[in-house]
Amino acid sequence: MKLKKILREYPLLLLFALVMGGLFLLDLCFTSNPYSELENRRLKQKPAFSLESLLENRYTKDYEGYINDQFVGRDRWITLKSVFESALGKTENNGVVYGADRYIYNKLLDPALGESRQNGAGFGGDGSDTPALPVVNSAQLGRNVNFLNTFAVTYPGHVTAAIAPNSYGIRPEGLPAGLPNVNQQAAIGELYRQFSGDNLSTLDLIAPLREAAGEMQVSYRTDHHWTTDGAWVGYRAYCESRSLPYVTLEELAPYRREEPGFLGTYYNKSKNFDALPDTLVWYDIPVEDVTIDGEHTVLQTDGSLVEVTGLYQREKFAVRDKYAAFLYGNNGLTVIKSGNSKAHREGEVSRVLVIKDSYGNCFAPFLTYSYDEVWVADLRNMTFKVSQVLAENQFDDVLILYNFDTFQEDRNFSRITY
Amino acid sequence: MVFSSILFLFRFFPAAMGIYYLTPRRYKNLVLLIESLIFYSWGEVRYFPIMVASILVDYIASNGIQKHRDNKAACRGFLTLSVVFNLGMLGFFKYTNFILANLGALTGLSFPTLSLTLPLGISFYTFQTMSYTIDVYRGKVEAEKNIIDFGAFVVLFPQLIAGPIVRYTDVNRELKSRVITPADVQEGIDIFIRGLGRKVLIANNIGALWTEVSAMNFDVISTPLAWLGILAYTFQIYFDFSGYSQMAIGLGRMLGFCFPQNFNDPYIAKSVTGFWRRWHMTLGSWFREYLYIPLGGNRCTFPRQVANLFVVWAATGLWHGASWNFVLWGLYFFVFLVLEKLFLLPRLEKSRVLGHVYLLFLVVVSWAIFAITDFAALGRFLTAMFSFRAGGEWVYYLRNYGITFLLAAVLSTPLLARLEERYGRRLGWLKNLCLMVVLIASIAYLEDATYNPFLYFRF
Repeated sequence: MKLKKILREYPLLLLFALVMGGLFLLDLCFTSNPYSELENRRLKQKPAFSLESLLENRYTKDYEGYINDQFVGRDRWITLKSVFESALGKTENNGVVYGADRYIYNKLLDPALGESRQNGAGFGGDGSDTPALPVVNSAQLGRNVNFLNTFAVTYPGHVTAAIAPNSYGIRPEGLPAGLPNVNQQAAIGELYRQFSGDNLSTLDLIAPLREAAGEMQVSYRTDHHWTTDGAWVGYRAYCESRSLPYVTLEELAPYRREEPGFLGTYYNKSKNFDALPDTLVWYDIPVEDVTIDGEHTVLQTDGSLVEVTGLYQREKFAVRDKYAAFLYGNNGLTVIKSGNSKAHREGEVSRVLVIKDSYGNCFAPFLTYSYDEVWVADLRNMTFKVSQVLAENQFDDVLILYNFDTFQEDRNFSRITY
Repeated sequence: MVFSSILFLFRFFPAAMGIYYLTPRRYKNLVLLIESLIFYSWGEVRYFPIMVASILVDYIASNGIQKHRDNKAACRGFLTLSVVFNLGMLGFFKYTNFILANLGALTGLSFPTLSLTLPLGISFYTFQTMSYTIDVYRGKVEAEKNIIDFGAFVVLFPQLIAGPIVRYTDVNRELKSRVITPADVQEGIDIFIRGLGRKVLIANNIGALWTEVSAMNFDVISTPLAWLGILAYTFQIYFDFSGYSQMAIGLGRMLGFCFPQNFNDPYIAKSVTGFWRRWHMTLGSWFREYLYIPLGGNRCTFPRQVANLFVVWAATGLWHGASWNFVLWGLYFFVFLVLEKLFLLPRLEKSRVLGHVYLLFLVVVSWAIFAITDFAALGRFLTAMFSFRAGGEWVYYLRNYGITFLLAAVLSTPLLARLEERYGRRLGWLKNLCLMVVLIASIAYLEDATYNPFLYFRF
C-alpha cells in the first residue's frame, strides 16, 4: 500500500534514486579494467593514498582519473553519446567527420584558419593535449621538412620521399559540405617543393591513388590507414619511379586473404552506430626470415614475448586492432629476407631501407618482390641510430614513407638525423 | 569539485546525501560543514586554510559587532576588519597580477607576476560573508553564535563555487530548523536534472563551436561564422551559468534549503534594464544593496546618479574578471542603462519587436567584448562580424550545430514552462521520462569527455 502511494506521489524521486543508486552500486562492484582496446591505452587504476600525494594534489587528480576511466559501462556510455550526437544532427564526433558513402574522415583543418595549439606533452593520452583547433601543425611540419632535408644532405645515396594522402586527401569531394579541411594535394605539393637535395626525389602518390580509387578500395572507411591494395598502388608507383620490376595483384591473387569485420581507429573515435565494417586484406607472401631489432621475438604491451615467424602476427587478425598484425605492429627495425625479388642478380644482395610510419606496415611486404632484403625502420620505437644502420649496411635505396596526417604532427621525426 | 562530473555524481553526491539524510537533525549542520569542506578542498588542498580563515574572520567580526553594540568605534572596526579581509583576499588572489601589469605599463618598470591559483568560488563567498557582516552591522540580522551553523552557511557546497550568491538572511531560518519532505527532494531532483542538462547537453555542446571559432584566425573567418561563433558563446555562457545555478538550487532543495532564483529567461528582455533584472539576479541585487544604495542610489541629483551607476558598472565588470575588457563590458552596459534612464526605456518596453531586437543585438555584441580579452583580437573579431566577409565554412558549422541552436533558443524562452503549466498534470509521466533521458544523456556526455582513443599503438 505504502509503496504504491510513494510510486504515485514521488515517481521522479524513485526513478532518480534507482538510476543513481543502481549505477553507484554497480560501479562499486565492478573490477577494474587494465586496458582499453578501443583507446589503445592503459586505463588508470586506483591510486594509493598517502598524505604526501594528497597535499601535492596528486591523489585527488589521480582518483578522479581513475573514477572516469573505470566507470561502469564506460564503453556503452561512449556509444550512447555518439547516438545522441547523431540525433542532434552532428556530422562529427570526437575529432572525426562522417563523409559520403559511410566513410569516416579525419578532421584536420586548413592551417590558414589558425594555429595549432597542441602542447608539448606528446601523445600522452590523458585528454589534456587536445588542441582547441584541429588544424595542420605548420610549425611541426616545418621542423620535419628541415629534418628530412638535413638527412638528405648528409646521406650520400639516393632518397625517395613519399607523403601518402589520407582518405580525405584522396577523395576530398566526400567531405561534408563546407568543412574547411586542409587541401592535401596542395599541401603535399608544397611539401615536395620544400624538400631539397641533389640525390632526393619525391614520389607523387595522390594521382595513382585517385586513379585506382575508381576500381578498388584504397582507403578504409573506418580506419586511418590505406588499405593493403592502396599500399600496393603506392608500391607500384614507387617501383616505376625507381625503374624496378614489381609484382602485380594478379600474381599475388593466390596469396590473397580477407578478414571481414574490421572496425578501425576512426570508428574507435566516432563509435557511430551506422558504421560499415571494412574488410582487411593481406597477402600471405612467403619469406625466408624476419627479425625485429635483431631478434626472432618481439615484446608485447603486456610484457610477454611473442615469436616472430613471418610478416604477420596472425592472431591479431582475430582481434579488434587487426591492422596491428602487419609486421607485428610498429617496431624499431624489422629486416625481411626473401627469395621473391624479381630484380635479383646472382651474387648480389639488393637492399632497401624504409623509414616509415604505420602506413609502411602493410606496404613493406610487397617490396620483397623488388629487393632481396627489406629493412623497415620506425623512428617512433627506435632502439638504433639511423646513421649507424646506414653506415654498417649498404643500401641501394632509401624510402621515407609517411602519411600526411602523421607527418604534420610527428615529433619523433627528428630522429632521422640521429 | 564540479557538479558536472562523474566523480561528483557517483561518489560525492550519493555518499554525501546518504550520510546527510541518516544523520540526526542536530548534527546535520556539522555533517554539512564537513562534507562541504571536503567538496571545497578536493583538488586543491591549499584552499582549506583560506576557507577556515574566511569563516573565522567573519564569525569574529559579526560577533564582535553584536557584543559591542553600544561602542560605535568598535563596531566600525569589526566591520572594517571583515570588509578589508574579504576584499583583500579577493584583491590579492584575483587582481594582484592585473594591478602589477598595469603599474608596469604606467611606470615602464617591469614587475614580476605571481603564480597564484585563484581559490575556487572566491568571488562568490567573499561577497556572501561580507554582506552578512554588513547586515549584522546594520542591525538587520543577529550574529550567528554557533560557529558550526555559521561555517555551514559559508561553505555550503551547492552554492559555493558559482552562486547563486546566497545571503545569510535568505537561509538563516533554514539553518536553524528545516524540514526535508520527500516532495522537496523530488522538486530538487527535478531542478537539478534540468540544470545538469543545461550545462552538459547545451552549454558544453554549443560551447565546442565557440572553442573552435575563437581559436581561428579572425582575419579569415567569414561573417556568418563569426556570428555563429558569438551566438554559440551567447548560449554557452547563459546555459553554463544558469545550469550551474539551477543545479545549486536543486541540490539546496534536496538538503532542505531554498536558494534565491538567479536567472529568469534573460534573453527575452526588451531592454538592458530588463536584462539585468533577469540575469545573475543575486549579483545585481548584491551590488544594488551594498554599493549602489550606500552611494546614494537614485535619491540624489541626476549627475550624481550617473556617477553612481558608473562606479557600480565598472565594479560589476571588474568582478567578472581581472582584465580591462571586463571593465569595458560593464561600462558598455552603463552607457545603455543611462540612455534607457534618459528616454529609451518606455519606448522599448512598449514595443513588440524592436525591444527584443535591440536587446539581443546589444547582448550578443557584449559577449564578444566579454569573451575576447585581447583588444586587438576583439577589433579583428568585430571586423569579421560587421564587414560582410564571404566564405563557405559556416555551412558546415550550421549543419552541425543547427539543432542545438534551435534547442537552446527554445529553452531560452518560457515556452517549456508554459507547456508544463498547461499539460504538466496530465502528462507527468512524460515529463519524468524526459528528465530521465536528460540524466542518462548527461552521464554519457560526461563519460565521453574523458574518452581519448589513441591512434598509435603503445604511444
